[in-house]
Amino acid sequence: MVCVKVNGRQETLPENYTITQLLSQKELDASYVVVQLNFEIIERSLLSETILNEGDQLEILKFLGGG
Amino acid sequence: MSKDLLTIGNSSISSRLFLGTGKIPLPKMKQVIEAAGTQVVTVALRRVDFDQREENILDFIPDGTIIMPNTSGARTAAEAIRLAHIARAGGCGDWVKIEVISDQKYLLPDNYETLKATEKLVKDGFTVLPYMSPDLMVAKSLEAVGAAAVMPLGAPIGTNRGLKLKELINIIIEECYVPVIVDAGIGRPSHAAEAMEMGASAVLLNTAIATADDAVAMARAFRLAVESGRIAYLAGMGGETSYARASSPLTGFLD
Repeated sequence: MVCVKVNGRQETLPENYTITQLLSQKELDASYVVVQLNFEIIERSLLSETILNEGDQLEILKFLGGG
Repeated sequence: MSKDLLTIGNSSISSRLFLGTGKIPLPKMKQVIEAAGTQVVTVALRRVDFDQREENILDFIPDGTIIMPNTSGARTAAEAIRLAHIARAGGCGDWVKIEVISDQKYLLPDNYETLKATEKLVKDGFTVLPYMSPDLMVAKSLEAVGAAAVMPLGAPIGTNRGLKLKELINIIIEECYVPVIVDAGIGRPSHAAEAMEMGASAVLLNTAIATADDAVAMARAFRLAVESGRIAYLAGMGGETSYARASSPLTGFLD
């Protein structure tokens, strides 16, 4: 298991877990969100091959109403 | 009359009413946008809340609308730059409204940090529209570093108080070459018309429509006011005088 911080919250995930797997676990559509891993933006095409490692910080963001 | 288009970056648009989407219920969004006739809307970027199932705002914005993410939440240029890049990765194009605020009481923009963020993001290929306090020298500096427009506030965000900074905005309109878009503070259609009569290129508003009892009807009211003010500006308004000037001829009376 690996410990990863997701949107500021500590989560324990299986080994070799990809960002795509995490998004589906959270029932999120990848085309609706932007993902930043350790302050680097991860292109959508790379989400399925990016594996989460111990101590990673993941930010999952989306658009909402704003002025 | 030839088509009166507003050119910003690589886009030419006919609607001079830009709309912020905050506080507008999603089921009403499309109707409000259509009633406003708007072609440019702002959105914000936030962390996904895993405890809440939320719909995607982009599904409620009509195709062809220019989406301008803002950098709200940024307190420094670095944070605004980071947010802008994340927004662009979200696939909404390269427009960005720079909003750098560290004053939580009046939500006034930090012009210095805004200028730094604008300069960097222009270099990074964004179409940058900075929200700013109406200061001529800052507006000229923003223009010099490549801002696509400048967006001075009329009054603090969400106050609906109108063009409290009118004199300063007027000077910016007079002295800047880039479009001047009055952002924030516009509370009534008459305020929007006044900004357009002054020669503003467009207005950006949100709260005045979003918090109206009937947001769709208010969107239409603002659309008409913006069009009206724009036509009046182009028509060239008559000057003011201190004394009466007869509208009817003063000769040829009956005995």
